[in-house]
Amino acid sequence: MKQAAINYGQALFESKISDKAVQEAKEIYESSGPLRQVLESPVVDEASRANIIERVFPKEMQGFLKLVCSYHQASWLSDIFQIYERRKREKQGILSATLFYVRMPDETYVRQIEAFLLKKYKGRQVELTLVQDTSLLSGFLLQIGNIQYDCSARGAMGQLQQKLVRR
Amino acid sequence: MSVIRSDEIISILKEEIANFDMVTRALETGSVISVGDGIATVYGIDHAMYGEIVIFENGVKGMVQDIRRNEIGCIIFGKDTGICEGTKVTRTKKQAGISVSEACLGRVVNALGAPIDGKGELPQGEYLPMEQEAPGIVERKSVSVPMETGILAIDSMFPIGRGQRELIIGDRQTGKTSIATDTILNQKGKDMICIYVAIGQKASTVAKIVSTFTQNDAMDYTIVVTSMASDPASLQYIAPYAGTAIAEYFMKKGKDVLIVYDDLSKHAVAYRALSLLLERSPGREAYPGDVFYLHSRLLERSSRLNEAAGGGSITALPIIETQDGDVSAYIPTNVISITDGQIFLESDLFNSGMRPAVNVGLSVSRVGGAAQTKAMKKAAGSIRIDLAQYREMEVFTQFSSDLDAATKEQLQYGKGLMELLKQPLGCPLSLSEQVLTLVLATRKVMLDVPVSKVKQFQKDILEYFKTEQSPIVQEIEETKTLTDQLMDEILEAARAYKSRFR
Repeated sequence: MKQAAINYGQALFESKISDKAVQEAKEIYESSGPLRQVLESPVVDEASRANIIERVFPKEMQGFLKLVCSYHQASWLSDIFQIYERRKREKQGILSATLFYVRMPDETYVRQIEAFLLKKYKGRQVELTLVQDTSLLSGFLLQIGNIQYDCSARGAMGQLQQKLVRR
Repeated sequence: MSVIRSDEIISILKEEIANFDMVTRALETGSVISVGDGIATVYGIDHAMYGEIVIFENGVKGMVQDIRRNEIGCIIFGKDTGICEGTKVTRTKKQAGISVSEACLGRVVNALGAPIDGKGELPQGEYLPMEQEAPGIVERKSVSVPMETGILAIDSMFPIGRGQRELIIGDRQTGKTSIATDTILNQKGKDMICIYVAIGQKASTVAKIVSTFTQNDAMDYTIVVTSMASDPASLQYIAPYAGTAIAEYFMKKGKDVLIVYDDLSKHAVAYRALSLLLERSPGREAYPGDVFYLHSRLLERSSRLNEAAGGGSITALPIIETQDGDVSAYIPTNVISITDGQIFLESDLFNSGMRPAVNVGLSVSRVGGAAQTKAMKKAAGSIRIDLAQYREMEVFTQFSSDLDAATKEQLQYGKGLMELLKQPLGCPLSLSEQVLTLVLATRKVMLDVPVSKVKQFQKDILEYFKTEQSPIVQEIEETKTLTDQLMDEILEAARAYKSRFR
């Protein structure tokens, strides 16, 4: 992800454009492959591209999209929308985490993990995605952003291996 | 090679598993986005420190060398074959370091401190960071104790003190490594710990050096740190820092350490390769802008500590290989300016049979004079000036028949001096032998000895002093001074020997 894309995403989040318009634009952009091609294509002239934006996208988003396309950076739009979503979630206090498991944990266990995350990372809500990963052998692995809690047999074996190699 | 039985392995494993306590803590992870040429770009480790060790999913370690806004560049300490896009990378929050203990003595280790001599594993020692700050001015003491190389040409004219950094510079095949290894051999019984750091050397060369040390019982006080030519550039880059970390361990215990970096030209080349792969801007000769700092921060760690700080010292002998005698190239000028003097070796001198091929005019020792013993200082006297005069007059040798007697005598004296400064490999001279040789030479006792027989005469007369004039030898070794009376005694004994010789 380019720093410029991060800056555009931040600017979009800080702008007065409504969330509804952003979501609508995102949906339109992601749903149509030919539209993405046209916006990203260098052979399409700026006037035609502006014309398409005006006809397809919500009014509030048109200025922003025209600006991004005028610098031939339409390919960054998916990253821009991603950053926008991330900032929105941060503001709302929504934590996104992934729980990799071998055997499906019961509801109480999941609640306990969510409670731990809310307490540790000071969030208001947790969006926990459950993914089965048999390569863990047993136990689970919790990933939140760049932070990882490894309570799996694979992780334990890795730790033991490192200890033995160092010995 | 130590042998470990299978039942011992099983018992070790059982013990380790029984005592194993899994620690679950928050680990900061990232994933590899690109890898190649020993460099991995990792996305996601936001709080990585410069110089921190990271561990890849397959157990290979790497070091953070480049921190960008959203990604980090790591140099990989090992093969990059098991690392691919998406490989998980974990922070260790530990700076790159090396485990050092007394057990390292007599061993050959790689740049990460792992033994490679097949003599079994090393016990876990103190973990010392490879990159450490150099001692400050308060902790330092001026250089005043000599570090004898055993080479007459060096000890008499370019003395090296404990804590000094003396560069050995010259073209290929001029005897740079030989000077360093001879110096290590000469440290036997002198309470000095030696570290030989081989950077980008052939494995056969390192094996040969190790066998020379072993044959001369020098491995008892020596550690060899190697990063072979086949090792990745990252290992070649950290090898001298690892060697210095080992040296610092001993220095802080109050010991005197001699460290040889063979050679820093290859170290600079390895760093250039890494820097270019990390997309840093190339500068002069394609080296990065911080190549001066690369060597200055390494050599600044060589020092002599005062008693309060431990009282040890690190004497550094960095080696630089020049191309066609060009000392004005980028790396040679950098290291010349960092070090406290240089011993310049010349191909022409080497090929003319002058070994060690020290160029007296271009070599210098900036701080070693203070460390020279009084006996050596007095004995060496004007030898440098005499040699310089001889070199100027050497051109007249072809007109020898037309020269006056005084000039002829000066030429003969110079020739004799040049002959005396020749010294074969692995034959270091003790302080008394050097002082006696210099006294006899500068007082022109050997003037009437034919040049071709000077070396034999020197050998015989030194043997005579050793066997029949042992009080003189003993006095020089013990007092390390040369009184006028002692000088007269030496000359008297030499005259007596000469009359017998005839």
